[in-house]
Amino acid sequence: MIRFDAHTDVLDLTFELEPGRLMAVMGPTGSGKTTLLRTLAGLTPLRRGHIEMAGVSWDNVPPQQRRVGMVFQDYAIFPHLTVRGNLTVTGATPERIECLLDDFALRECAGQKRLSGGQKQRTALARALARGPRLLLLDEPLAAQDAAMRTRMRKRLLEYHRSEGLTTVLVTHDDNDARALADWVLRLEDGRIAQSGTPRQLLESGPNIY
Amino acid sequence: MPDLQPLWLTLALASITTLILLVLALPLAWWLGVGRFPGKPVVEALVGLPLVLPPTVLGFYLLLAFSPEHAFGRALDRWLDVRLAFTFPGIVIASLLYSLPFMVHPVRSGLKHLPASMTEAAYTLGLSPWATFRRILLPNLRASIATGVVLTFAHTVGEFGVVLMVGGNIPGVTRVASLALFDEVQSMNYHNANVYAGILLGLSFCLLLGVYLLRNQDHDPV
Repeated sequence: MIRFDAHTDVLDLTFELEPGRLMAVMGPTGSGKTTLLRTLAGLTPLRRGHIEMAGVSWDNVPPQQRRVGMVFQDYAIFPHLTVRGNLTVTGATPERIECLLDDFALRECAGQKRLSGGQKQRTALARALARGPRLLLLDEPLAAQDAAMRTRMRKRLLEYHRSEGLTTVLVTHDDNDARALADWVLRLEDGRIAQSGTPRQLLESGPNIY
Repeated sequence: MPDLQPLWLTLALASITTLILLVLALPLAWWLGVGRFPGKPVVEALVGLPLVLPPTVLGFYLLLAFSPEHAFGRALDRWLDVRLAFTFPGIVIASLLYSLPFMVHPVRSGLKHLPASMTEAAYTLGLSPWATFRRILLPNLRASIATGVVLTFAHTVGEFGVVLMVGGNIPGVTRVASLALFDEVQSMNYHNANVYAGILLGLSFCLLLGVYLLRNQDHDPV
């Protein structure tokens, strides 16, 4: 169980997330979605608030010890390494790396450093999963994929999420991503929860303006 | 044919200065780049001072500091039996201070241009700050480091005022190529002066050409 309780100028929200849940976070630009991910990863310190993971306070736990996997909006691929190198640097086993290369359609570019936007994004996704995180934080992880690949990657993501018992927080602007992947949706506005509920409750009621 | 020793001395001085600064400037650039501490602008101004300070001013103060008449030089002499004025180690120290910004600034600028998410991604993957620096940042700073190395080497090769002040002009000890060139002109040996000047010109041009080739390579479209 993740308990999140923040009261800062940027974020003012409280929620609990049960293990194994996949929560989509939606909302307009500047509503605090990325800040929420960064706070959970330990990259942005929470000055007023508290994060608890499985009963343990994360207030003073550095990012290295949180065992999170994170996909950044700009992918944050290490450009001096090949796709395989980006996965190897995580310390994952060779078997795990080979499996991820196949699952995320990276086999053909495994030895490359120069990648398309879609390949970079899939590399970032595979890298975030490589060391077996317990919390997966995804910032628009499928935005650069074409329609066919997007559908395929949603399926893969869901498979990993379920088979490895991950808890996942997905930031997205895409209703279809939220519908296909999430079992809970938070809609943020100005760092506060404007709405929360199941995808059916929130997304079937009308078009998403975000 | 002019004496080649000043040229070897120049290359030795430039090589030693560059190697030492490579080791010192990387953590300093990192510290100045990411650190937040009181007095940071003072440290930055001190590191950059040789860019604007007349070399003779730096040389003058170093000469005073190294003198046994003053506390620092007296302590070195008394406790370590070391004399730095008019010695090769003395001009190495002077060169380290004088060329410091030429190594620190390119590395710091390179660090500034790396996206913060690269470091953050490494942290979320479990890499320590040191491992992140060594395995992720350093390989992506290759062009900046190479620029710093070339500029430091070239700048040290061209030193005149600071070496003259701290080292005097002692043949075989502190008489580097730029001083030997000056001596040859004073003695109206223009042939020898031409040889020194031509070698320094060719070397400096080749080194700068290396910098620009590296920069162009760094901006190749991906």
